[in-house]
Amino acid sequence: MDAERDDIIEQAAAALRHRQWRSPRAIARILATVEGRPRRWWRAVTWPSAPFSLAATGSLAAAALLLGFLTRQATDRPDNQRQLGGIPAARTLPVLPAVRSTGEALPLPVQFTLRDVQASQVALVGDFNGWSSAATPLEPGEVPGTWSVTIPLSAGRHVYAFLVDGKTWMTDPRAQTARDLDFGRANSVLIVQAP
Amino acid sequence: MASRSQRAVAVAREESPTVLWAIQPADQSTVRPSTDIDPAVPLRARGGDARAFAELVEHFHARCLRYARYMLGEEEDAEEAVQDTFIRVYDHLGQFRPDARFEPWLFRILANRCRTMRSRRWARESLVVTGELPVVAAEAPEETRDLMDEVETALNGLPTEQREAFLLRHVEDLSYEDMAVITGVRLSALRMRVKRACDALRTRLVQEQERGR
Repeated sequence: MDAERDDIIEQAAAALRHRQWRSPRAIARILATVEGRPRRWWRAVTWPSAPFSLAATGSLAAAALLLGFLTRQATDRPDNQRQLGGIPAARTLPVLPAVRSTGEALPLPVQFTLRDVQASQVALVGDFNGWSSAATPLEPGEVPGTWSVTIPLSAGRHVYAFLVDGKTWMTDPRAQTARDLDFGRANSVLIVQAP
Repeated sequence: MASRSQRAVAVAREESPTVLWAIQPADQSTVRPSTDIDPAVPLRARGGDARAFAELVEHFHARCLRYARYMLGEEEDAEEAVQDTFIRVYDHLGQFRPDARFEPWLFRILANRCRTMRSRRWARESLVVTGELPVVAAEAPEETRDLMDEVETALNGLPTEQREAFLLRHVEDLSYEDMAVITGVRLSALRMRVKRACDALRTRLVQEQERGR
């Protein structure tokens, strides 16, 4: 017998286990609540459906240029790269300026990149795609071991991570890390700022 | 007239000097739901199978409610915490890793919901009861008091962290490794919490027995 488990403790535990609270009504309430509720991890990434105005398109183009410039700057600095077996891991920016069109807030295209020569598949998972491992795969780049994907993100705080080969959860070392209390896993935080 | 606890102690004393209650651990076989669930069920729920999600709720609801009830004391709060837990599970099943075990994942969410609710309730109650005299628990024993109430009262006397550790270890029968996942606390600290909880419970229950003689 376990040192901490003597007869008194066993029987106290048995007494506590003996009491059951069954509530079919509460179960029914839970199932009714989730019924018809949108499954967040199924939600596809949606591009803005409204037709782009010329001004908006220009703004997005400017944003993309700025993003490319900032990404280049960031990834050129060695201290921005995580060494993973000598390989820099991720190249996303923790803070990005969003460009807003006239009156309407448009999502900003954000590129996520990862370099990992051992990976055979990489997915971007985050609150913006319901943490779906299937919704946002990264595409392999021309340089072996490079992966990237560009998705539209609205201004605000986004939490994300990379899922390598469907099992390895990787945070972005360049971004702030947030630990989800409920799920115990570290994620990266990206803040897309409105100008 | 002797109380139920006194009768139980008297009967138990004849059989074994260390048995305090008539409730035997053997009762577990009839009242303890199996903790196991087919690992395919959470994966099916993750894939969008509504029936699989319902199966998860059916399977774990009673245990979750029991844990929340012991942690929170109030049935209404416990039901709310459990409902929040399952809705959160539903919303975040995409984050559940296929190679992970569902039970500690679920209990981690539940334990956090209970902590949040406790702190919220504490803040609410502290506004109301300030200045009131505390009730002296030692004066409480009554002839009609239920055996299980005695254990529950002793449990309620434990600090929250010890109560949580005791419930997870001895009532929910979880391993220390699972408990570490659930609470985010190191194994050595968890062992210490369980030990202290057991020591405190033992002392209180033996005192209760002495008082009932």
